[in-house]
Amino acid sequence: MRNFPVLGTMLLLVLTGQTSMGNEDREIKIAADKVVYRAAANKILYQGNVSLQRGPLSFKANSLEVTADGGEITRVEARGTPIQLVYKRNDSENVTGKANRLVYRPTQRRVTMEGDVTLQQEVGSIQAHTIHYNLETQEATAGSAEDEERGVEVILSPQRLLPQ
Amino acid sequence: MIKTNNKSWLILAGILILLAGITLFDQQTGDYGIFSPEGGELSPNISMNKTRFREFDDRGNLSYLLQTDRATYYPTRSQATFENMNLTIYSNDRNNQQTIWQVNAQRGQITARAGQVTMALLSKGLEAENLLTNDTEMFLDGDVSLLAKRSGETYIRLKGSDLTVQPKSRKIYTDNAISIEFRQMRTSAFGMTADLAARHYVLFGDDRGQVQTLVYSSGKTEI
Repeated sequence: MRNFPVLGTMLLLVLTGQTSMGNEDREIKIAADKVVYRAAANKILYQGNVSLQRGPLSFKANSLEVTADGGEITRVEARGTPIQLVYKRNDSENVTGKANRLVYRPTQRRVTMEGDVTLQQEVGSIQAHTIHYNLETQEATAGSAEDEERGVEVILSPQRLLPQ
Repeated sequence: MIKTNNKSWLILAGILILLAGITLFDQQTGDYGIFSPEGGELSPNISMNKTRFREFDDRGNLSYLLQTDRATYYPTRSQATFENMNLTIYSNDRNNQQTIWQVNAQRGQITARAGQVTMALLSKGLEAENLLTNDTEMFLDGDVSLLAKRSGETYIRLKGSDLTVQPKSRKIYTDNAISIEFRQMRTSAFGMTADLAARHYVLFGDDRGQVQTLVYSSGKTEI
């Protein structure tokens, strides 16, 4: 596992959309072919062509399960082949991402992306099997699968990082 | 206006008694009229205004309460219809008696399956307490709404143009547009099946559109 400050910034943008988020951006829109709501278990499962949008952040997945406790969302899990994330930025190129599984625990302020994870921005990209991100400390760690030879791959574009 | 036919008086009287049973229902208030079948098979034979019906389960607990501005019975169709109806279904779980479901609609209709209601009336008559079977369905339409309440607090609001309710098995479904509100979430769909007792809801999309959820974030939980 390695720490990546650039990755941390990218994840912060993609997963929380903390930049200039207005009230209307706090609304979350979710669409799916089918929804199963099990009130006794406090679970809502969205299935088939799932899309989620919140302000500049959107993603598409095969399924999305939301777990709540006492009216507060405690866990969000998306699965896809892959999940496709897009964070639209006004000032520059979009941040895009892919993963097979994404788990977000709001109460713990933690996000985990698993399975062929790719995050791409104009400054570069990162590929890993797993990325953990702590929203509280803004610390990200990326790792490879035990049976994977490739490891974590980071590509930076110097011409984009340095002022022209 | 009440019109009677001498030849059919005994038959109508019998139907009146049978209706009191069909109704499952414990008529509390209101007046009723008896109609002759002059208008043909589709004419109502009995109608009651401002009517209230109750049914109790095997343990003596109130199972459901139906209040309606007008209840009409069509024996030739084995059908009962209701206008401006309010149906309250009580939980049949003793440990969960504070859960109720309140259903409102402009119109309601029960149609017997294979003479179910008629046969039940004939066999049980006025002594019947539980005439509806578990799969007896009540079709509702016109501004249908359902509130699910626990301990007096509404936790689900459901609205649609129509809804089919099985009062005894606590199951509901529709193939048409429906919206459901739960806490800060509002979901719209184009079909639904639900087991109210199990608190299990399945919402569907189709070629008319997907299931759509809008979550109003309080700002407390970030997604």
